[in-house]
Amino acid sequence: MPTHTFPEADALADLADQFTAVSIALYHFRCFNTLTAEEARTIRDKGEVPLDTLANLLRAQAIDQVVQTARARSAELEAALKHAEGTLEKIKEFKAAIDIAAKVVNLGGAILSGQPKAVLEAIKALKPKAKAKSAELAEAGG
Amino acid sequence: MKSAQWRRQYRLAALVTLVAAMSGCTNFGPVRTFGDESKKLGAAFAVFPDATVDICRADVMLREQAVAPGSTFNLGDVRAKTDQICGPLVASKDAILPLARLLEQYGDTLAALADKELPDYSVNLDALEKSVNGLKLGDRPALAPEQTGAIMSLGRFLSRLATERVARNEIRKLLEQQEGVQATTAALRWYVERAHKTQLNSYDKVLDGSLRGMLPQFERNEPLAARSMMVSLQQERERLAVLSTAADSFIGAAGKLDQGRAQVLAKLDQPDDKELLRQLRELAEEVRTLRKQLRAE
Repeated sequence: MPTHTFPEADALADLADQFTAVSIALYHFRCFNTLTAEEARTIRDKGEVPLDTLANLLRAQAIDQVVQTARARSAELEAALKHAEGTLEKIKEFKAAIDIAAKVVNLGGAILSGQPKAVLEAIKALKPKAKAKSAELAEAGG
Repeated sequence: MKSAQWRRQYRLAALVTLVAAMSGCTNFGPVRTFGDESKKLGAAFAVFPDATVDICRADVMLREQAVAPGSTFNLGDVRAKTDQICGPLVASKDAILPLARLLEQYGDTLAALADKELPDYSVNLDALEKSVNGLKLGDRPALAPEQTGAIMSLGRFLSRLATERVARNEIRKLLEQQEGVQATTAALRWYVERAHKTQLNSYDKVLDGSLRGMLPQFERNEPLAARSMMVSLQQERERLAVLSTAADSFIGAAGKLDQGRAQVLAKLDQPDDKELLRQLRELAEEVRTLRKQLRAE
């Protein structure tokens, strides 16, 4: 059974966590000590902000690596899904084909009966599909 | 001559009845359950990247608000810092969400292939049967009722068998995608564990520092504002606890999903297997708990 670990992404995330830990330590220093407004602002802007930015950049890079690895491993799954969706469509088309078959049989029956009115009605039953189809084609063409 | 023809028709009808009865035991219930739960789990994931970004923004805002009494607070600057610090996480959201959608699509397709309605064309065939019965030569029916019955039994059987066979093949192919499914769930779990939970834990430490260290300093000069803030931050900690529990539930459910896929595949021909049904019930329960936790968030 394949193992799905992401060692390179883990290394990046570990580094990001260390930057975050330092940033939090700086924030706690601000919280538990009495500082001037200027000192606090310096710690915030020169310490916490760059550390947090760097940490999230590393984290984002780690996430990208995880996603790329997973996508490469799931390429076959994506192909199988496409195939399955195509099959589902075909099954639905088959269902529609049975509907049409019933209408064609009706038309045959009407012709056998020799009644012009029945023939016209059976043709009418087949028409809406043809109309819809030609509308679709016109739309695709336009 | 006539009796030989009747015997042939009788044999055909008997064969059709027998085979149709044998094929009637197809049951894709476990596949449907597994597909539905995979779909729900994939959809539930979307909450985590959103919450990760929200928490990052809340963290920046709180730390800026709590710089020190007497310091300046410029909303424009704060927004710029928020974009700078949380921007990479916003971009990561777009990277990870397609994997959740892949899991959702996987579940959706499996459930559709295992749909009870899919292999059953009886409604459509009924219309066909009516048409065949209506075929007339002059005033008389064109086909004897026995002939119509045999034709329709065979048609019904073949259409169901063909669809079931096609659906079963596709279901098997999808369930065999161990590498892809495991890689996808592993990536989503990694995100929840290493990006989302990390953000929760960091913010919780920031909240702790604010509640125990920073706000008591502000309380001396602005008691009402500081105390009101304490209440809000305490509520925020409770929200984090709910998200953390939901994150653990997601990780647990994703693990069960991997096991479930292997079990459903191994027991595709034993849909009533007790162990399989128990595992699927556990998976469904885990997913239900997760969704409940996320609704409470």
